[in-house]
Amino acid sequence: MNVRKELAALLLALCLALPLARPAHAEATVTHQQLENLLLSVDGNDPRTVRTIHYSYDYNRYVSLRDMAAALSGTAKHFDLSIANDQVTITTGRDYTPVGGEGEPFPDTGVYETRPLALYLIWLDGRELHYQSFLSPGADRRDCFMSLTDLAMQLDLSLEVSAGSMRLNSREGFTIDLDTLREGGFYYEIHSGLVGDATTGAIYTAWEPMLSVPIASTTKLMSFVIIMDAAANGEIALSDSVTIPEEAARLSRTADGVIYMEAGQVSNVTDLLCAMLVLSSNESATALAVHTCGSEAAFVERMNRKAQALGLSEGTVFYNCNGLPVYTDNLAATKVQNRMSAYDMFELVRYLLSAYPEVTRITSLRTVTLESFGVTIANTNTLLYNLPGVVGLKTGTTNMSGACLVTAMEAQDAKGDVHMLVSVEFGAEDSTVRTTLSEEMLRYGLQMLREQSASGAGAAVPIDAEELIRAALRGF
Amino acid sequence: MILLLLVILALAVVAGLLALKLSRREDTRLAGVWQMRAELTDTARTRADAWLQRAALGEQVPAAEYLPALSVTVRLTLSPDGSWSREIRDGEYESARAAAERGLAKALRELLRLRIADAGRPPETAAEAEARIQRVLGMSTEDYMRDYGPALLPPLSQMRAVYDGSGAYLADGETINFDGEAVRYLMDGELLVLLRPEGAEVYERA
Repeated sequence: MNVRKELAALLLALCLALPLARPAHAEATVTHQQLENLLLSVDGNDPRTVRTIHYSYDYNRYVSLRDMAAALSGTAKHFDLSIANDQVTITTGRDYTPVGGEGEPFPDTGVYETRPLALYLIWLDGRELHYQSFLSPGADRRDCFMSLTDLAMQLDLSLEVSAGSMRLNSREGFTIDLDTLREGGFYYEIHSGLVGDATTGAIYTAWEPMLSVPIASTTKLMSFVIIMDAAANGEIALSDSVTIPEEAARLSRTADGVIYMEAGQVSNVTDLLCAMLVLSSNESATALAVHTCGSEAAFVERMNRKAQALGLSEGTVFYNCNGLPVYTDNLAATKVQNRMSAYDMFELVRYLLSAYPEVTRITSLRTVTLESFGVTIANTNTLLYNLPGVVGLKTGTTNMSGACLVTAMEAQDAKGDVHMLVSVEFGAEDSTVRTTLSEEMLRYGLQMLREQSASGAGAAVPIDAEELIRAALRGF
Repeated sequence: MILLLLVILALAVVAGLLALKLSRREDTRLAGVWQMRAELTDTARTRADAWLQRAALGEQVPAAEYLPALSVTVRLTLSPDGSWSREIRDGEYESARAAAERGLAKALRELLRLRIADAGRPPETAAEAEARIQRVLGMSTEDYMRDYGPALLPPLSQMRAVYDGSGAYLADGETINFDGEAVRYLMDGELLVLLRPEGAEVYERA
């Protein structure tokens, strides 16, 4: 054969083969340059290297799960780890089986690639967790980098970190001293926050609790109260059909809508309540408001009157039923938002859980199918996955309010009695911060509940007339 | 000349003795037990109003309608031998405090009744409101005021610091000298008024 023809054939073959050799989809990766070879000493033994990524900021640590698993092998905090496809499985109480490379320091190049931060599926002892993490690329010896704080909370690790080293006491568990952390600026990431015991009224820690701030969709907890009051008074029934009004349909077609609705479409109170609380559907809240009171304006008037009747402060103001920003109808056209203090929200939640405890049957749902809309929706509250006992309650986000979260968690004290712990958080930078902070606050609340019940400390006595009257009004 | 000096000296002695006799007569008139009422009504009502204010939410529950007039006796003893003592009657202070707390408890019950009505709930009597409060507190409203309520009166220690004391006194014309502190006074029948810079103290003979 002619040599030129052979070369041409070879070239053609290469051109055809090369696309096949390339992967169909290239993995997206991020390059990390803030790396640390953290030295972990367990129970005072010789330290081992745990590779750590500082994500975007120094000390925002994400640690290698394989390095941690290898370092904790043979201790009371040992765990096994397997990573298959995009699923991470952690099993506590078992020694880790190494795959090679554990504890080897980051290479001298000073860069390390992983897949972008995302909500990969993490299973811990059969329980699904929702935490942002990094996965190393490729299929061989994959590693997962998880936030050090999140890992310590989930594996109940007693860790001290400073100056490039970490000390772990495997005989102790995770504890948090919020009041000490507060002095280090723990609360600077939020506008205000509080954690307390809704059962007794005791407040364990608070940050700017009386400050009136925008509350976004946590508003819908008050909306729920008004709707349930109307049902209790016989004005509406929970079995009612609801004809979607024009204002709700219009809202559903905007960027603030999450469930598409047509005016005149028929749904029902139960589906709309689920949509309002689980998915934070603004249009569902509007539809319910119109169904309950004939108009949203009349519904909002009831919200404000209820706030007054509950003895909430003057800083609690509602302009609408769903928490969205609204413009005032005047020349200045100011954008206003519903406002409340963390303390008032705590009081509202105490009332809600006392008067309508069935609210948690809705707010604890991770997913729910809305038959009238033919959709299955997922809860916006990721703490339902990460903290056992969490039964709700509501997320909220606007540009001005930041990421807000009101959480209720069933917890047993040292005597076995069940209490409802509540955390209120307003103004976090994003949903990751609000979830982590709320989890830390609730774990602190749990610590305090158990310490106080073990020591025999009694329920909190109201500190003033207002608190006493509110407590008395809740008795209805 | 010597005679003149002797006369002047004798007159001076007589004048001195006369002055001494007069002052002793003045002291004799002053001697005895005097009593004054230290008023606490305004203080207690102002503090009670402030405590109720945040919970009032527009309702009118003025402390003046529920707290009685409150005062404690200050007893001043001026002895003929030139010693004096003054004291607050402790028992009266405790009685005044208890009366103030009972009044505030009553005001709180009334405020709760009004707030219950505002909330659209069935009206309750004072007894029912008290029962409701007891369920919340695990104690009576009066006990709560005693152990956790606001301080409606100045502390007893503060009042003792103001009123309690003892020493020596000497009347001299229009003033009484209490251990070096000269206080102008007026006496009219059974009333003794001490005109102190911070205000007049009006005593009645006990």
